[in-house]
Amino acid sequence: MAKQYDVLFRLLLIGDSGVGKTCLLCRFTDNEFHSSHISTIGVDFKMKTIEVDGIKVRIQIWDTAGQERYQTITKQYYRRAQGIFLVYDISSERSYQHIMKWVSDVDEYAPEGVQKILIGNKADEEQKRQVGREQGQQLAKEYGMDFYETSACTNLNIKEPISFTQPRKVRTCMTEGLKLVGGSSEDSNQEDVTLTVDTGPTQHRLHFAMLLGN
Amino acid sequence: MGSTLTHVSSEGSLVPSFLDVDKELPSPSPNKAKKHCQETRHTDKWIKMLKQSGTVSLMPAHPPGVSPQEMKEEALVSSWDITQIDLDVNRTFHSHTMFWDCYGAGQRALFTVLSAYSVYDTLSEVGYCQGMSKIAAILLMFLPEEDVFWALAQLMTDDRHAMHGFFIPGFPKQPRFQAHHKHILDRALPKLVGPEHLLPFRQDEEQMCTGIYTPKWFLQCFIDRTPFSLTLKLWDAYILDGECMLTAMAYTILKVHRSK
Repeated sequence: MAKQYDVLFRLLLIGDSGVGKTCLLCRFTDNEFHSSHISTIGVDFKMKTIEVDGIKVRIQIWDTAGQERYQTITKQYYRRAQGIFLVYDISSERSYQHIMKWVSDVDEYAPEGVQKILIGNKADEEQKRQVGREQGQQLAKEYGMDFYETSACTNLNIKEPISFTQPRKVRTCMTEGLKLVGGSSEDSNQEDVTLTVDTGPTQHRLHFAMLLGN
Repeated sequence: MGSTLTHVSSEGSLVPSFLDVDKELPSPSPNKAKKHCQETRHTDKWIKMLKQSGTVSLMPAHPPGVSPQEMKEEALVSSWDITQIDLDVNRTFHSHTMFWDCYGAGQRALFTVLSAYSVYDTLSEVGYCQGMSKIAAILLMFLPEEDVFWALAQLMTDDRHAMHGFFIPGFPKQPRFQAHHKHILDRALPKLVGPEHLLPFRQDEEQMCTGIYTPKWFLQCFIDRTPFSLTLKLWDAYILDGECMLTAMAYTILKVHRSK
C-alpha cells in the first residue's frame, strides 16, 4: 500500500488532569467539542494529515493521562516526541504552577532540544480566569517556549500552535533524513527530499538517529 | 423461574384494578422485558459471585476500622485524592441517566464511594487512581451505595481479581499482563501482529503497540471499549472468573476483528 504521507510527526500533550488535553486533541483532529469528556487512561493518540508546502505531513498527537500516578506509563512516550505541548487551564492557578514540574519532566525524559509550546487552555472562561495572559507569556519566555492561549470550546487558536511546529520541523526532519541517506540538501530539489523521507526504512533510521543523537 | 411467573399472574388476577392500568400502558415487548429482567438480576448475581471469590463476606458484620460513612467524612478532611475524584466524577458515564446531573444523586454516591475507598485502603496504597471511577460507577448501576464500597474492596484485594496491582503507583500488574498478552499473540495470532506485536490499522499503515491499548482493556475490564451490553456480559464473566478472563477477551477481540 502506498504511503499516504511524506513526513511523520509525533507531538505530545501533557499537563495536569482536567485542563482539557483531550478536548484540544478532538478539536484539532475532528473539529469537535464535547463539554464532558472521559478521563484518559494511560496514553491515547489521534492522527491528522495536513499539507505544508506541498508536503503531506502526518501528525500523530499523543494524549496522556494527567494524574501523577500515570507518569510511569506516559513518560515512556516522551522520548519519541518531536514536539511537546504543555497545557494548563487559565482558570486554575494550580495547573499553571505545575507547569514547572512538567518542564523538568520534559528535560529529563524527552530528547534534548525538543520544541516545547506552552498552552493556556479554556480561554473562553474569562470570568473564571486565575492566570493572566502576561503570566503565561512570562513563563514561556523563561523556558524558551512559544505561548498560545487557546479554547477548544470556541475553537480559538487551535490550528496555530500545531501549524507553528510544522515548517521548522519539516525542514530539520528532511535535512536529517538527507544526511542519513548520504545526500545533501543543496543538490536535491524538494521532490527528491520527499521521496527520501518517504521510504519506510529511512523513516525508522531517522527516528533511531534522533534517539542515538541524544 | 416458572414459579415466579405463575405467582405474578395469580396476583394480577386477585387485584382487578391493576388490569385497567395494564390496558392503558403498553406492555413492554418480550425482548425488553427479558432485558429488564436480566439487568435486575445483575444485582443478586454480582453480590453472590463476589461473596464466593473473597475470603471475607461482602459486607462484614463488623467492618475493620470504621463505617463507610465515617470514612467519607475522614476522606473529606484528609484524602489526598479528593480533588482528582471531584474532577473525574463529572467525567464518568456522563451520558448515563444516573450520572447525568452534575452533583446529582448518582454523582454524589460515586463521590462518596470513591472518597471513602481512598482513605480505606491505605495498606496497599491504592488510594484513588483514574480508572477506578468507571468501575465504581458500573457497580453503582446495580448495587446500593454501601455494597458498592465493599464490592470495590473485594475486587481490589481478593485473590481472583487482585485489581490493586493495576492501580497502585507503578502499576506492577499491567506489564505482567501485557507480557502475557504478547505471549498469547505470539502463539495464537503471529501473522496478525508480527514479531513486534504491532496492530495494523484498517485504513492506513499506522501501527499500534500493545502499550497503548492494553491499559485501557485491563485496568477497567473493557469498560468504554466495548458496547455497553457487551461490557455488562464481560463484567459478569470477570466477576465470576477473575483476572484470567482479561487476556482471554483481549485475544478474542483481536481474533474476531482481524479480517475487518
